[in-house]
Amino acid sequence: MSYLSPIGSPFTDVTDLFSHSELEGFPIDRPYTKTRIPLSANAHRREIGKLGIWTLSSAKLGNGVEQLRDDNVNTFWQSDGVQPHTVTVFFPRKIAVSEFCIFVDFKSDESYTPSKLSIYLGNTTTDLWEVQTVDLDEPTGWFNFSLGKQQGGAFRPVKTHIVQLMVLQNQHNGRDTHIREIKIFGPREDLKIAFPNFNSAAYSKYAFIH
Amino acid sequence: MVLSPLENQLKEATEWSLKSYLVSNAVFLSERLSSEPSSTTEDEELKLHLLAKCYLAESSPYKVVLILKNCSSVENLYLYALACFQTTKLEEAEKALLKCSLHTSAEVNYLLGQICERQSRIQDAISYYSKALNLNSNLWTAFEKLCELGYFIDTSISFKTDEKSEHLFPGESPSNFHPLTASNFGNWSPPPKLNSPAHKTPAKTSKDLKQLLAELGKAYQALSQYNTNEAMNLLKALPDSQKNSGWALCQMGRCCFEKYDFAGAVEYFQRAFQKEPQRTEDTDYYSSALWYEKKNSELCYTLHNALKNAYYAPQTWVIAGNFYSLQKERETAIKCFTRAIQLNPYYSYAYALCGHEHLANEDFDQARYHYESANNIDSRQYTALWGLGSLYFKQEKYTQSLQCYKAARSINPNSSIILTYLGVNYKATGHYEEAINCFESAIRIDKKNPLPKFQLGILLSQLDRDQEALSHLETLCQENSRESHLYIQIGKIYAKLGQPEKALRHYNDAQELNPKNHSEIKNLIEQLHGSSSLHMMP
Repeated sequence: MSYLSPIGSPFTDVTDLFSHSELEGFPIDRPYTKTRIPLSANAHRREIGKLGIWTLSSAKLGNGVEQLRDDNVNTFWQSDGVQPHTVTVFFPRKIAVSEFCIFVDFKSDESYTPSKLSIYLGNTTTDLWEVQTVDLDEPTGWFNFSLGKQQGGAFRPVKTHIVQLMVLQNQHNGRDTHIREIKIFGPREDLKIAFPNFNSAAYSKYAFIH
Repeated sequence: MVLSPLENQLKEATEWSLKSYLVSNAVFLSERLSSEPSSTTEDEELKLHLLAKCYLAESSPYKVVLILKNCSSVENLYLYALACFQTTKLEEAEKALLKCSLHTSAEVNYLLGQICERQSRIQDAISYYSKALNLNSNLWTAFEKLCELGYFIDTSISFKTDEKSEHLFPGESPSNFHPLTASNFGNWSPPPKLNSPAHKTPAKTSKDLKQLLAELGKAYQALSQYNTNEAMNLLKALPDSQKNSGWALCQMGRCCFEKYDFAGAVEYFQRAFQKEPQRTEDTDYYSSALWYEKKNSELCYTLHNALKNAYYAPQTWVIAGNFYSLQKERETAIKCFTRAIQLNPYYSYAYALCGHEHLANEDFDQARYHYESANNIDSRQYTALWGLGSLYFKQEKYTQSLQCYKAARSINPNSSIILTYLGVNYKATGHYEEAINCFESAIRIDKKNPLPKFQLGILLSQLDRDQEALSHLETLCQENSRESHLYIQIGKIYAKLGQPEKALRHYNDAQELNPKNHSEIKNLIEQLHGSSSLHMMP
């Protein structure tokens, strides 16, 4: 959509060449990274998948959401229906999201491995907008997609109810798809109850009972 | 009781092994002893008793439960009940104790009290603990338990008189303990005499135990009631030798902690742990004080030491949790707190802290579960009550949060933080009078806490009492405040009063104090320029 430059678009600003996101160092021209180990929660981001309600367009018995979310790349979700296959995560409370990570493994899944993916955000299933579409060539590993809005040379988290992954096509035109693991990250927010986030210690120490 | 020579030898050898802490040897020998046939049930019980003692020394209470299932002697029933309690077979434990008809012994009453407390039968627990303390005023832990349950007795009486009490193990009192002498240990020599006054003055024998316990008890009770000033004075009035002990220093640390004087708390705790590096008790509160003070490196150092020395102490894992909590690595912090809970399933403070992490993660179900668990274990755990209240407050369930905050206040009426939150809650439901009362009493209780005044200022300006609001907030400014949000609030009031220059000046000050607030302040300044009729919500 408007705020995400399509993959491979030329740089508009020289500073963009070197600027990386605050979130996970996404190159500005290509808003996804490939890593061998998964992103993990840290002081800046947290896993929020567990706060959402997960829906699959179709699944083979015993290869469903549980296998997709069990933190184990040896198990997987296998779709069982017509393309496109979707994974829809609905957050009952609107929540800030920053990264969407999937693990795919061409070496084991061959033609079940996705080759063309789209990621959508939105507030209802009817007003989804596309964040990015990616072509993957025989991919193996973790693919981390930025869900953020590009602003001031960095990706900033956006608030949403729904995150949807759509598998449009598989390698060698396979019918069903395998995705082994999905993680969704949101920014870490300071605990705020009745007060703003104070900057001075004299105030902030009275803001909580620990 | 007729024992064969072999049995006698086995018995003596077992007892010797137990005394020298050679537990596995004792277990082996006493198992041999109990394999010998017994002529009378009395002999049988005696052998089982010895075996049970060995198993308890081995810390395998489950074995004791199995071997003493059908015993009938008073001593064995007590051990059986103790083992049942340790393996959380509470009903069996209680049944056994009630069977043993030894209701005039302090230890039986104390154990019954613990059993009732675990079952949340608080009134029963209180009566058992009081009885135990009446029977034997040296039973300090019974007194501690009473304080934890919120039952405050007159310490001057309770530590003076002992009712006539039977003892289960009359021969095993500490006075019968034979200290190791120099001959046992080759060239063991007594430690050199220290030059501290406690060693010099003969006055150290002038105090008797009951008097000392009464003094300690009074201080401990005051702290349990969160009368921190009184507790502090009582602790400082202790005799020097006791005043400088790890326990007393830790209690002073707790006093400072509950007064929200965290720097002071850190100081006392550090002195305590310097004096008694073996202490694991209260290290959890020490780490929380460091958390408040954001002392990363000290916390790391404490954690390192704790992991090295006391890996399996639950407090160690609370320190670890606090360490990660300060780094905002909440998932890891949760793992550490969970480990603490695993090591001690009745650790209500760990539950409360775990709840805080879940709350910060907006995982409300888990947060509620942990807060409620903390409160089920310790109904006076006001940290958890505050957390539960804040959880409801965040969800805008103001009636429930009001209940929690009120309950927290009734436990700790001297907490300015709780009062402030209570006031904020009243403000959210439109009960402005009550809110103002809360803020004002919070200001009275703790002059150092700026938040009630800050909130009072916001509320007064909301009620169009802008001049009063300004005077409150500006006194805060004069207290050398470096708080950006304070200047934002003042700016907002000036904007509302139609004095854009003054508002702008305060916004600029706020910006300078916290550059991270850039976007919020920018919006406010734009509003100031944009609107001709200055309509701004405070």
